[in-house]
Amino acid sequence: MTEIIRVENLSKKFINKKDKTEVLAVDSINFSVNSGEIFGFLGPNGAGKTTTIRMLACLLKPTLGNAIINGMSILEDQEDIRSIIGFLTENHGNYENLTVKQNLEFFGQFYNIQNINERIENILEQFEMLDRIDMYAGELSKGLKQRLALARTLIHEPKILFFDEPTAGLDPIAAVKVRELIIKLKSRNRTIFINSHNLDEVQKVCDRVGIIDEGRIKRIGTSDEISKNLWEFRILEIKLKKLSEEIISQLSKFDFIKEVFPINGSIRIHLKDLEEFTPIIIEKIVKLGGKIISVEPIEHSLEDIYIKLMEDTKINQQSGEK
Amino acid sequence: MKVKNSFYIFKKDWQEIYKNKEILLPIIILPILFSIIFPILLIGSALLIPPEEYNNGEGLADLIPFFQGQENEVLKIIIYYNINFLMKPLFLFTPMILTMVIASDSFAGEKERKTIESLLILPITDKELILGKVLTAFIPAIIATWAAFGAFQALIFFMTYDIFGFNLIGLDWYLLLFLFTPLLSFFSVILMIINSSRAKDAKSAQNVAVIIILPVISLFFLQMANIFVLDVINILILSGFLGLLDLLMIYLGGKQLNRDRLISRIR
Repeated sequence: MTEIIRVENLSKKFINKKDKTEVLAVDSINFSVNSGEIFGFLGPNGAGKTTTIRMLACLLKPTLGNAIINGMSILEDQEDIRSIIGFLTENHGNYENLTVKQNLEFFGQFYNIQNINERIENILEQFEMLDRIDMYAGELSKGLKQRLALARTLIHEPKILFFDEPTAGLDPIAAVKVRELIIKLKSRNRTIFINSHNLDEVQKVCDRVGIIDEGRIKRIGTSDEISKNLWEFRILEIKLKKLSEEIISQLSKFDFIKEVFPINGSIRIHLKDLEEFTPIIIEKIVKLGGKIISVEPIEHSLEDIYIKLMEDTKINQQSGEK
Repeated sequence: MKVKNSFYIFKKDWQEIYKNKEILLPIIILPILFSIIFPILLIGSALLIPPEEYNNGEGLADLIPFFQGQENEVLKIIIYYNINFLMKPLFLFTPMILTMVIASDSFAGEKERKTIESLLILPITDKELILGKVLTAFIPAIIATWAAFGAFQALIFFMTYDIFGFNLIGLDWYLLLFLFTPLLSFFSVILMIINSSRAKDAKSAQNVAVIIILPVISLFFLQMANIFVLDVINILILSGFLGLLDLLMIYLGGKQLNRDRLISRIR
């Protein structure tokens, strides 16, 4: 896979005008995004997500560092970068006093699109909005406003898309539609960078995630990779036809197993390495006469990962204060 | 620099203004007020005063000695005073108020309506963006003022030619409208756009209006009291001064107006 976004020691400092104090919103972050990937950028409010996305979209100049977008520097090639990216802002950003067509015409004309009217009709058809072409944007429902914003973002067929909280404030059905569109875009080989604090959404659509807090990257990778990195023990759930105390006590004797306990007719085992030790456990259960119905590794959800990371940060801060 | 990009912004802003009554109404009402209503009231009131009550106009004769001894001397003095002393500075309010109303909405309005980020992400330079916003306020204000002046001139000619036998609108008016007014409007536009870029909404962006309005109000009273008259020489001097101020505003605008500053102020 080729790298399409490379972030190098990117930092942004703001100066609080009231008391002249400096606020380091983004602190020397490094990461990369591959072409055709959906990358989720997670973090609590004020973590530095929006500042990062604004720097990558050439809206804000970094205080230090650089980012290379499709081979171009955000310090030198701002106009060229802006012409190959699409940016869906947290607020839909449509002009409510303009019609759907006027909105798309306005944004489209800056990209030298051949036959813009045809392009507008095509994109509205894709977004099932062609019948609303002459409606004022202000008259659309929230979900349709977001679809118009997406259509606007895609009018020039950008290579890279930046989405800042794309489903914020949408009802569940509209949010599902937006997620489906994001997945569709991936199939068309678009690279998508999503800022979100909706963990479920990120888990559903993103290939990899970066977790940021207080301006620093805490972890980067697939949720599986981050999970392995965060927790020493993995969880295996084995459903048996009949649960016996003998099996639990025998399994507890293995030194690679940290803990075994029954749960809803199954047993949950905390162990160091799933791949290496699962066959040994199965063999032992079978030897002890246990009848296995299913064996399933329990993955940590992104929510578990996120909460653990944020808790770790708090603990580190508290110990630092002491 | 691609000027067509600035015109796209100008066109979009005008499509929006067309639907915004708060901005559209002053653009329509002000020129009518200054070009038709005020002149009719000022000239009409002079014509309605019975000649025997003209005695009080004697003090004005010292102000405008040109008409002394002529037929309808006091009537002529009153009309001339109303048109050339009262109306001249009043006419400056049209471009000033229009530029203020439109330019204060330029960036603050985009912030208020939460469209600023989608505007700033466009592949255009800061200069093209700012020029677009300048054109949005400058062109209509100037066109409305000039259109009002055209109507005003025709009305004055129609109402006063028989009394005076010559056109009351002279070179001083043309200099005021075609030299001084664009320079004043430009100053006003840049000042309001800078303030608009810092303000949260269009209404709070109008708080610097006093910087422009106060000198014009002073000009009105100075002219009324015959202390400082907007004649050809004074208009040229003031235009030179405004020209320099405009250069300063271009410099300040270049420093103040850029994406980084605009976006940093959005939370």
